[in-house]
Amino acid sequence: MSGRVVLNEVKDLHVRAGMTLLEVIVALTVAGAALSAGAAVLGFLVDQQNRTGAQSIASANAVRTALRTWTSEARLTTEGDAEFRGTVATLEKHDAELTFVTVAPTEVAPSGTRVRIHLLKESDTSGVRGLVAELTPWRRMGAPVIVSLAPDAVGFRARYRASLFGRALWQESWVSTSVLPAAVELRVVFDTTTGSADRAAHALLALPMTIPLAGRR
Amino acid sequence: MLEAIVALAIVGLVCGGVLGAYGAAIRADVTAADRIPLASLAVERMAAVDLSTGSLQRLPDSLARGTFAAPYASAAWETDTRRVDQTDGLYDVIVRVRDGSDLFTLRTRRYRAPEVVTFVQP
Repeated sequence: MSGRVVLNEVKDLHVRAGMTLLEVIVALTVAGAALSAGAAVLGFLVDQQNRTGAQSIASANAVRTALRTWTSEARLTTEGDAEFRGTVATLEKHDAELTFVTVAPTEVAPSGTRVRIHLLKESDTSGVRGLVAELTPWRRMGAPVIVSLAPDAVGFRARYRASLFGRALWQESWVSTSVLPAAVELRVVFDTTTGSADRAAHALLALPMTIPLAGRR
Repeated sequence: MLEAIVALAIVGLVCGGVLGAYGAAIRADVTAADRIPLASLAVERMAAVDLSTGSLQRLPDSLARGTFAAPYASAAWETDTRRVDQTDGLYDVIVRVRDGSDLFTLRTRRYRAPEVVTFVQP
């Protein structure tokens, strides 16, 4: 009797050892599905993070390109109705305000736009603040369009290069309807003391831009 | 059991391929984002060449090579000019900006009126 019991226990042990093929397949499928879901979520998060950083850098580069294109294509007219006006807007902060007519294509006109670049310290009625460009069709009717260039900017500096008699001098302001500066240097200032997720984009935008004016070449 | 292993191997290969392609896409995004600042830096160097008044035949050292200020202190640039054959005053201008293994090359042409030298015999 006791011998039979022992034999049955041995048989049970033999039957329970290991898993069936079906169990292995189900377990592997579940594990595979779980791993795939985890990898997909991780990939999505990494992708989103990278794309956000890449997008903010691409958008900073687009702002630099727009500023460079508009400014380099600044023009004056023989009629004297296109003024290049680069002034210091607020003396205590040294922020610049720059107005000129460009023949570069813009949001409001394919050729001929009055561009006014300035800094809005406080949000206006439309909620826009920071460095903005006000684009108005030149010599044509049309409402101005406000383009936000750098909402986080806290400063905007500009210098104007005069090249008279072979000497190059940088001026703090330039107002003329008859002579363009040889080049303009633009500098966007950000508050570096506050941590920002767009630090790389701010660094790119803060890089001083030296823009030779095509109309002077 | 053998069929299951083969099937799982095939599924694994497909998953590996998809994840590899996904990773390559992410790397391409990151590489593009890394090179955008280099492109802007190269444009700045080209502006410096445009503002120089001297000949492009031989650039001064301050225009030929150097490094950038912070936060791009790890990037270095070099500018090379070559006279275009059979066209007086026309030059190929090549700006290379390098940051680690990333390299951006900006290539364009610029015209400078040839310098006229007058010799006066005593």
